[in-house]
Amino acid sequence: MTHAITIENLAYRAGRHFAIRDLHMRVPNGSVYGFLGPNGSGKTTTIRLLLGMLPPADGTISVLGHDVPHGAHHALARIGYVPERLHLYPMLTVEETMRYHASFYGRWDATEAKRLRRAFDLRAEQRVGRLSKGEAGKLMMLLALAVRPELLVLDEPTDGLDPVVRRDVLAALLEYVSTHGATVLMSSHLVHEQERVCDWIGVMDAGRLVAEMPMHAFRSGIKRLRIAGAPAHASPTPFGILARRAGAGREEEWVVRDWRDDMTSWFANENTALREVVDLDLEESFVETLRAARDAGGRAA
Amino acid sequence: MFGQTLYTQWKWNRDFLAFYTAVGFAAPLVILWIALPHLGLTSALELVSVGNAVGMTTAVIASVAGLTVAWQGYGIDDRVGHIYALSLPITRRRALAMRAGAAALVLALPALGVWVGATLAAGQVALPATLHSYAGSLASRALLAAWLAHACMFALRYSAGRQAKMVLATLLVGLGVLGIAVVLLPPVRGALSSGYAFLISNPGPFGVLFARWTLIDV
Repeated sequence: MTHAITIENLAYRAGRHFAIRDLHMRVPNGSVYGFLGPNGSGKTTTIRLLLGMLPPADGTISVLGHDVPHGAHHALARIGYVPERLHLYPMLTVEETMRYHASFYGRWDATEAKRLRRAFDLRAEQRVGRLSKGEAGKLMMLLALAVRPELLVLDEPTDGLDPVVRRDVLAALLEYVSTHGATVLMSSHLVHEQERVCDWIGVMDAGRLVAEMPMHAFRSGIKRLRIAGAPAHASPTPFGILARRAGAGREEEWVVRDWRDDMTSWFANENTALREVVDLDLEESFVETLRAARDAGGRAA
Repeated sequence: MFGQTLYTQWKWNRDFLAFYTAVGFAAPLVILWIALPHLGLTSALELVSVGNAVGMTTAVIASVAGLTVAWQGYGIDDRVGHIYALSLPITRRRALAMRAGAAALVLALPALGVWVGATLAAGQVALPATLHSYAGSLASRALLAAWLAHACMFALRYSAGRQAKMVLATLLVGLGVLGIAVVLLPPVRGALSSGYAFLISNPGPFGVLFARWTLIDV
């Protein structure tokens, strides 16, 4: 499998309290990669690092085969980027912004840009500084898609948008991806939105990538088990234990990853009763993964 | 690409540029209209003094125009965290060169205003045979002064970023301290005076700002 983005041993420090440490991340070609994490976990910083906007302290970044930050401008020519906040010049009109943006991209598709402007109901003469949040979000998505990118990097692209605009923006994105087979890296803390559109998931917390796996593995592999008579020290398990908590009576609750149905036999061998296997939705899986990572981090500290 | 950069520069700065162009145009005319009736126009020396006043006013206008265009241009990128500029597929060096080039071009407008105003003003005066008007030279120097002021502020803003005000204040305080040292410590006076003279006189780096500016001269 080739990767649109490969990050190895990345380190970056911003101030005294935030650092990205030893970050490894691979975004497969053609995937829609959901980049999940709580606010302040380092998603935006990682995105800015991989676009060459910030210099890493250590490690290597490769985007579409280009070394970043040195070859960032080559990579950026093939990337559509939507930042978390409006980044365009407020005194330009929509039409002027499109012309300005187009002048930097040899791949600019003027016909598609006009079609999207009409589809998004954006007025050409409207000044960017006077656009509503929804209109600004649509314009940024228009600019990102009209450069016909091989990679779309979207930093909270629907954050703060109303449901109608969010649907329009996501529909345009999915239409582009299905037509052109582009890779998407989409950061968000809206877990359910990621669940609908992503096929890979990476979870970031406190500057570390604490989980990275295909969406189906994340969705179906993390379970909550209700167990009676659990051993104090479990022998090696075929699944990963994310959390272990006391339940009612002698019962325990385990949150596990990489779960498969045929693993129930392990409990029989351990003389332990597996009472129930509970499916978790993506949000619960996300929360449990974060909790486990924080517990592990706390123990390590 | 450069055309679009130039267009954005124009849109950012056009209000200030219109103001400085109008002031650059009006300053020579106003100074001459105010000064001439009172000076009597009999002395070549008086005319040269009026020409000097026009020159010094022009130097101030050009410098402030250059500083403003650099400060304002950076401010607009800074307001959006430089995210847009950094996300475009060009090297930073090229982006900066285009931004500086665009600013240099739009700064031609105040100089053009100075040239037209100075030419018209000089045409109002019957100069004695020993004196000449230098509207073209004055406008050229205004352009060079605007570029120099712009380059200094551009370098300061883009290298110091949000700390530019602090760096600027430190520089000004440093200059003040040096001035006091010159007064209080005679041994360093000579060296500092030489350095100062090098900086502000031709062909020193700031010579264009401090050397003799005049519309009317021999």
